[in-house]
Amino acid sequence: MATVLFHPFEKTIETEGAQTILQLAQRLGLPLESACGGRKVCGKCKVIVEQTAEPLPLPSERESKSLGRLLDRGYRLACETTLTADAVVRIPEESLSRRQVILTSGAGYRVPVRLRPGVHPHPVRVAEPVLHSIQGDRERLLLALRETYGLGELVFDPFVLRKIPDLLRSGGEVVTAFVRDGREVIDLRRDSDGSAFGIAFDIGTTTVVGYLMDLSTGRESSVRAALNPQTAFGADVVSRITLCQEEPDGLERLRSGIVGCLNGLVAEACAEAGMEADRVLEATAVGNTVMNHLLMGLDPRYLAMAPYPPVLQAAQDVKARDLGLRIAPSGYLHLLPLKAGFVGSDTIACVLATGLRRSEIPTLLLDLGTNGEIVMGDRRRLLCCSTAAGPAFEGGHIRFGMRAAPGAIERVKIDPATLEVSVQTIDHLPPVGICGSGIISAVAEMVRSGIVLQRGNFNEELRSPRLRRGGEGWEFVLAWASGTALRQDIVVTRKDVSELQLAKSAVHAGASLLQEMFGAPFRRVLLAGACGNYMDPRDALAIGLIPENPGARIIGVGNAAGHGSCLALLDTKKRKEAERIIRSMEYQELAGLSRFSELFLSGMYFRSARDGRGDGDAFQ
Amino acid sequence: MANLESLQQAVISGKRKDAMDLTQKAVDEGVDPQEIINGCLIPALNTVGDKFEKREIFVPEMMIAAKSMKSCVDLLKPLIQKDQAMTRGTVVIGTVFGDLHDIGKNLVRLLLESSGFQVIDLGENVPAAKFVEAARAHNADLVGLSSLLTTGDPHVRETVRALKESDVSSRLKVICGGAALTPKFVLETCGADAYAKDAAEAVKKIASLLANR
Repeated sequence: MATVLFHPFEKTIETEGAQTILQLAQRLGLPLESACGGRKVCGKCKVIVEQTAEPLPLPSERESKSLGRLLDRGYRLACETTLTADAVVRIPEESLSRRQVILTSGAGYRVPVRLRPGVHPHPVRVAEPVLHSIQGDRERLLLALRETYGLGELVFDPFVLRKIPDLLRSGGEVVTAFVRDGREVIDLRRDSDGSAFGIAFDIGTTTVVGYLMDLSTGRESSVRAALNPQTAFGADVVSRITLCQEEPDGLERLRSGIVGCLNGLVAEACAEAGMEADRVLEATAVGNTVMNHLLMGLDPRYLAMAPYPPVLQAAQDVKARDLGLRIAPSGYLHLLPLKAGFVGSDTIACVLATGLRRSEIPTLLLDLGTNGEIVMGDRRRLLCCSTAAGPAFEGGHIRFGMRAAPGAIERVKIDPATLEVSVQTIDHLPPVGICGSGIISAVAEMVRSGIVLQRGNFNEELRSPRLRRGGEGWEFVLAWASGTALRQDIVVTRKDVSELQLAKSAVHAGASLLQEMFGAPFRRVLLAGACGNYMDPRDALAIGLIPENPGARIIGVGNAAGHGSCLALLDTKKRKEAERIIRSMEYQELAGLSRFSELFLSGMYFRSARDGRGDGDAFQ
Repeated sequence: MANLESLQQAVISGKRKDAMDLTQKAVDEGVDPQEIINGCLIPALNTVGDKFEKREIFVPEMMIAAKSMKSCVDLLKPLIQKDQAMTRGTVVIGTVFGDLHDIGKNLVRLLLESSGFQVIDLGENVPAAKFVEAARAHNADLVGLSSLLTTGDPHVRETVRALKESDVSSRLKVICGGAALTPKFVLETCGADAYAKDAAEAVKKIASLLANR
């Protein structure tokens, strides 16, 4: 009877017969990596035998070849080494199999994910061809895969077939077949290097992001972002749909534009990670419904007309080469499912990333952007809607509005006594404009200091050099020209306030309506999207963007859509969950609903404004 | 003595409860309901429209004022004798096919009804044929089309064409409005009689188009 202790887990096991270290580790459930499952092919299960009561058997020829000088430091292959006496074994860092990784996000919102990618490496040794029994290269490879891993009927992508003859004769003994879904061989590589990479895309109307991930460790290798080139044809989705209607080649121009952008991100991300793009074997993509359709080359025109039916809702697995996406030629792109014309796979990805479907706490999820998607619910029931909030949250329709970029005012503070203003800009550069979180902050402060009143009008009785009549009506100066990079005073106009009123009222009304339909108040609010992440939750409440539920926590969750895309890339079970989400989530069309119109109108006021207390409910 | 001046102010500032109280007070003191509408509420509406044009107020405040006005009109309507009711014209309005936006259209309806027009609101997503049918059935003086998406242009064109080619076209005026439309498109391409950029302008133009009915 021998006792074996495993570091760093501090677990021991008794062994009678001669069992390999790998078998012992597996009995204890320790995460010791073994790509070939103990078939003595991959060489991944390196361990260090630190102490042993009796000398170990000599290393096999394979071990010597695989470990080389490491043998001198006590390294052995766990699948080849048996123990018959007491021993202490350490599993080094590089041999730990990663079953669970934590995705970080800029907002500090951590999403744990189980590593279950769709593509798996299978290192094998393929038998040499013999004269007396003709078997093709492909057939011998299939045989090796069946005998080693029990894999049944496998399909080879035609482009992979082309690699077989040379790879089988390239001098090494081992080739690695990358199998997708246990069914299709999508790549073949020499040696046992089992690293496969994947890229997760978040295709926004304005910004596109690509996350290059190592599928064997779940680690992020590189993140790149780019401006969506379709913006040249229109800032919003409706103008892009109009292009498809008006120009015969409109759809093709938009499609090739986004594919070019994705290819650029792949190239940049791979360059940064120091690898070739053909090592990227799998991709996922999320985006609003119009983005999804344009990528696939589907005509989006019916999305603009009631009742806004999408061409499809189900998830799609498409060969990357069919879309012109330049990753491994045989790799797939998985597009997550979508719910409706204006609730796309990006919203589904947000729900995935935030785990709403399993939440015990009724939660409100807001993805603030031009469309303002809202999801409300918990594990019992999920509801969603889309409020055409307008572009104010992204700086659109605002006099000095801009997207979040260096120099954008993102936070404002007004001294209620002196009405003096201090602004904070992105990267602390001289201000060039105001971004979404900045306009929210500015109006919130203007309400708090009594400059803006309940109806959204300015308090014309206040005396301050910053409050004045400009060319387009009343305005309040945030930054004097001398302090800006523009040589103009940066102001917030009465019209800017009204644009924000319309946008915030639409979101408030949508959220209130979903809450009414859900039948219970939400106790937590999750803010997704760039604007949501940088906005001060107190400002959101002050302007009436979010219905007020005392005690409800408000949390920024960063680019939840992007993280949902990464989750689906690293864990194929998340793809099934996405399908379940679209089946069970209920979509509520707001247009034409009189309750929405009522709520939209009553939500127009700034209830926390100074004249609110004086007049009581004269407005109601 | 009921202060009609205060009532006018209350409506303009969107103070609904105050406006309703003052309206009721005026009625109780025997002021003629129609006179309240003509002498007080309609001028209030015109002031609101002017402020909107001068950019002293914007859509939110206009909606708030319109809601106050509607509440007062709703109070007064049952009190007005049928034969006394002046109607300045019959107007059919709706949002074109494929479009579900209704805020602008609802505002126009509110303003028109409060100013003495009879309004038939067909709602949203209205096909061309339905506009024609309604114009015929109600003997309409004017049809107003609302369109908020550029993707609705073909439907605006189709609807105007159908109206102009119908048997009721001779007595019918057609006006189109909404954020997606331009004067050139509406007047030249579609051949409509008038274009309005927003609800306030729409009501003004409708009033002048039907002034001689």
